[in-house]
Amino acid sequence: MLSDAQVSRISTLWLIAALLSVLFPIWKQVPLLIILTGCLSAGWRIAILQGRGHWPPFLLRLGLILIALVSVVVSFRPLISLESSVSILAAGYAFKLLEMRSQRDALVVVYIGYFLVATAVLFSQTLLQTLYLMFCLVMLIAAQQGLFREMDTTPVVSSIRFAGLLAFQAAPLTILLFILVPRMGPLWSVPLPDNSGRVGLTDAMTPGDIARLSRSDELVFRARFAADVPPAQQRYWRAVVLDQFDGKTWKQTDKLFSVAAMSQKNWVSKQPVTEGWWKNRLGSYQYEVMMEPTGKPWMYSLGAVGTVAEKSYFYRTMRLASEQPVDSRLLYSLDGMLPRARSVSMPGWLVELNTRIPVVGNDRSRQYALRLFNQAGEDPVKMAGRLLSLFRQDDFYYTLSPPLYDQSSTIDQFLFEGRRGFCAHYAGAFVYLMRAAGVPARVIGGYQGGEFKEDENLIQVRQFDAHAWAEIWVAGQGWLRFDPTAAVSPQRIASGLEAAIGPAETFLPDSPLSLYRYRQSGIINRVRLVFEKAEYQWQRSVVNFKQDQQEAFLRSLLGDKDFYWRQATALALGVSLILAVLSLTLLYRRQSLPPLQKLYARFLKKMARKGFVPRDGEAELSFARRISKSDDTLAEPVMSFCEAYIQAAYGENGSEMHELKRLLTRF
Amino acid sequence: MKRMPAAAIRQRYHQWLDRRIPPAPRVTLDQQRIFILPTIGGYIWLSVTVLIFILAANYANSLAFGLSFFMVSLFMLSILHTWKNLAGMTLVSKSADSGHAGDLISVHLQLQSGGRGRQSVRLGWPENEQVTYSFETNQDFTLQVKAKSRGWFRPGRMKVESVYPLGFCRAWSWVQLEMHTLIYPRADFSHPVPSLLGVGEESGRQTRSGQDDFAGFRRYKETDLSGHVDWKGYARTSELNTKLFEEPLGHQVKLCLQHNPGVSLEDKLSVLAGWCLECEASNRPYSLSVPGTELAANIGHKHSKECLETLALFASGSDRAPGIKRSGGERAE
Repeated sequence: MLSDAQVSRISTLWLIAALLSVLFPIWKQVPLLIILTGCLSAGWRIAILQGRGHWPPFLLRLGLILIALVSVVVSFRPLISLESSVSILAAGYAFKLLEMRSQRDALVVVYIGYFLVATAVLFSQTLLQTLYLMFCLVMLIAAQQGLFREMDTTPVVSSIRFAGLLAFQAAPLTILLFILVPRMGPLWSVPLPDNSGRVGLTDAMTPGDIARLSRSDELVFRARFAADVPPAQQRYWRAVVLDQFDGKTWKQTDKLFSVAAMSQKNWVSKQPVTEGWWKNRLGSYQYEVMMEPTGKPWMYSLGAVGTVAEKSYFYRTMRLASEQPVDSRLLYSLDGMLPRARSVSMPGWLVELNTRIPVVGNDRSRQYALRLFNQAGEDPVKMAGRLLSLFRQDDFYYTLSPPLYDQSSTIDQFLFEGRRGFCAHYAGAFVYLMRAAGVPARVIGGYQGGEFKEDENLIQVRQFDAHAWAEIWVAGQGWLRFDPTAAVSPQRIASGLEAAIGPAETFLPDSPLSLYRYRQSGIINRVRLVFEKAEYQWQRSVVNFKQDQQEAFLRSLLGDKDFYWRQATALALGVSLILAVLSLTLLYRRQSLPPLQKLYARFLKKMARKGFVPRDGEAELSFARRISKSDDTLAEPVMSFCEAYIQAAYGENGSEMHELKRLLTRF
Repeated sequence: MKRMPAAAIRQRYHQWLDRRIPPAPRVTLDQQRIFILPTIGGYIWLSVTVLIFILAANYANSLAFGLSFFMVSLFMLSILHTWKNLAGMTLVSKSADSGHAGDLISVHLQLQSGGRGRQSVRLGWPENEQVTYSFETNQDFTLQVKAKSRGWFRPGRMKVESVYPLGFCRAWSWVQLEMHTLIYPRADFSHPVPSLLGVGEESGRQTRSGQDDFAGFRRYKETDLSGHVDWKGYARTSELNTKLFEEPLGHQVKLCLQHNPGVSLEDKLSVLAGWCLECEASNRPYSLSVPGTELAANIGHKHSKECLETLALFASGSDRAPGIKRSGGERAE
């Protein structure tokens, strides 16, 4: 019946509703023009439905397709990417509405809709998105079943209810397949979602150029601790190590280190660091990090690690980095390690590198640094302490809206004129001054703090926790962490950004609807916490249920012996069990016969086994007589049962069920 | 070994179908009678599912995997739902109007829902009218079917099908309902009735004396000759009546298979059927004689029915209703 039959009005409306809801989650990935033309064709189709429009002529449709193609070509560099393919699919989906006349066309529209739902999960797999896409699926099912219903007056509620019922009935099988069907690895490489547009940490820091730090409550990562959780003052999540300064910008260059003496192999390591430059002792923190995609290679850690996650490296600058940019959510476990201070050594070339500053500019700062170094008795730690107390003075301010320092001597400007800035300004100035005095120093970029969730032993770090701090090298003690921002604004470190900026500045000016903004409100905060917990569990146990996790889970469930056989058997058994239960519940026709009729039906069944079937219109008594005539052994029990039955069914006295049952057992 | 020609295969198939779904006056669709297979739409759906599975594998995306599993589950579920849409439904043949071969015959059927709502069930004879019904309770309906040949009305197997709810699978059944309806031979009016031709012994008696033999009135029927209408009475009472005349016995027409202009037997029967109708319309008594059956001259609805039935069944191989003829073990329904 997949035919040229016309699509009814009601199912066309369903299709349009499904189209709009499916296009919604991908509107960010698709050029605006395509979304607009999509809405236009939906509107046009509604006008046709109302009898106010005509089918668009061929040339117009061609024009729309050309517009869509041109906008895709213009919008995407490189052209072949996931986003461009999705855009073309979305455009085709929308335009198909304008030539959808037959049931066959409508079915094509529905199928493309399902495919678009599949592409939407490539961009986001959050709980909210999933719930929304489930709603889209129900809409699509409702639209699809509307195509095959012949009535034109299908009520909306019953369609939605039926579609929901179908989805609900399909759920057990879906879950079983999800758990048991073995995951395949990638068959060929595919363009990944483009993450370059994301805000977040970069490996270059130009504090003077930023007049207003954008603050977002977007999730960066979650770290779940096995036991102990570091106190707020020690939650320094390293991501990048900025070791080069060109007078304006701090950059990370450790990937390029290829000094003849140091082979690449030695500089980066895939093994936990146990020897070489330093020796480790076990730290107290064991944690598991689930990081959101960044499109950048770096990963977050609390410092030295005892294990290196798969497909990642550990740099001697004590940072973790992945082989490939992190384009999808990544889960890795780390054993916290602490370097033994005395074991840390540093080659000469690295000392040179970590004291290098541009030869010109910032003269005042240089002189000031040398003076300070002398005053401190050439002790780097003492000098650092003096610097911190300098920042602690009243006329240094912590602010997220600093003035621009865009002249050639940005450090001078900041230290002696502006004195307003955020972490990047303070860390940059601190490291510059230390280097000017000849002390190896570097800027560390990452996140500081995070929201601790006690019931899950979990720290949740958001984009506004981004931070920069400093490390200086002290012989015999290794790299020591100094956080100049802590001196200026102790609240920033102890209680987070929100406490640090005070009432003068808005906390999250860019996201007025963020739940995080309304933490003070009890109910909203509770809702937020519950939702974030559910989201975390969703990401951890469902979204992250990939090839390895699946195999590990199933091995623990089914046992290691003959694993694949067991998996296949469990799958086959599970599917047949669910299908059997479904068929029974769906297809079983409840026979709601009264008890007396049931007894008679049992009698008929017994007789049928002996070869007697009542003829059309044959009454109980005549049937019994016929049996009695042809079979003498049955005559007596059949007649007595039949008489008792007639008495019970038609007589005036109440029925004697027990008596009937007893009589029934006699044959 | 000879290759089996298509016709033989078809015959085999029909024999198998006859064993599986024997003709009956009422047929309840159950496991034995419902067939189900995926439609083209269903196959396309499965290929979309495979595409999404590959997409999921390439992106190692759990939710895309989940979606493809959901789509497979939906497919499996739709098999059950489509089947359920037909299962337990009963078709009852109520009656069919008699007619002539080549006419459209109205077949009256009843659909019994079996206590379950049915959606978009399509039924009918593939080469004739097909209708689509949705119903909650029992529903009567009428189908127009073209009668192919005279004799007992055998419209062949009726197709009952449904792809509801999602169009992935088509469940169908070929139902043969027994109908106790005779199809008369096609009426051929191209030959004049024998008496007018001069073949009968009462040749030349074209007109009748009329008034003397006036017998009474009856309500006007469309087939009545306008000359017999009681126009005077109509003017008086505005009731349209037809005057009846007692035809003298000598005016009767003898219709005989042997003296008949047709070439083949079917043609001859057609001509006879036409003559019967013509005589009936012009109110002349007629007798019918075919080998084995002689019907005395008479007139009236009952007589014409008798004559037409004789013609319908003449040498058709079966002279009894198919239901009675049915042999073999009685089936418990």
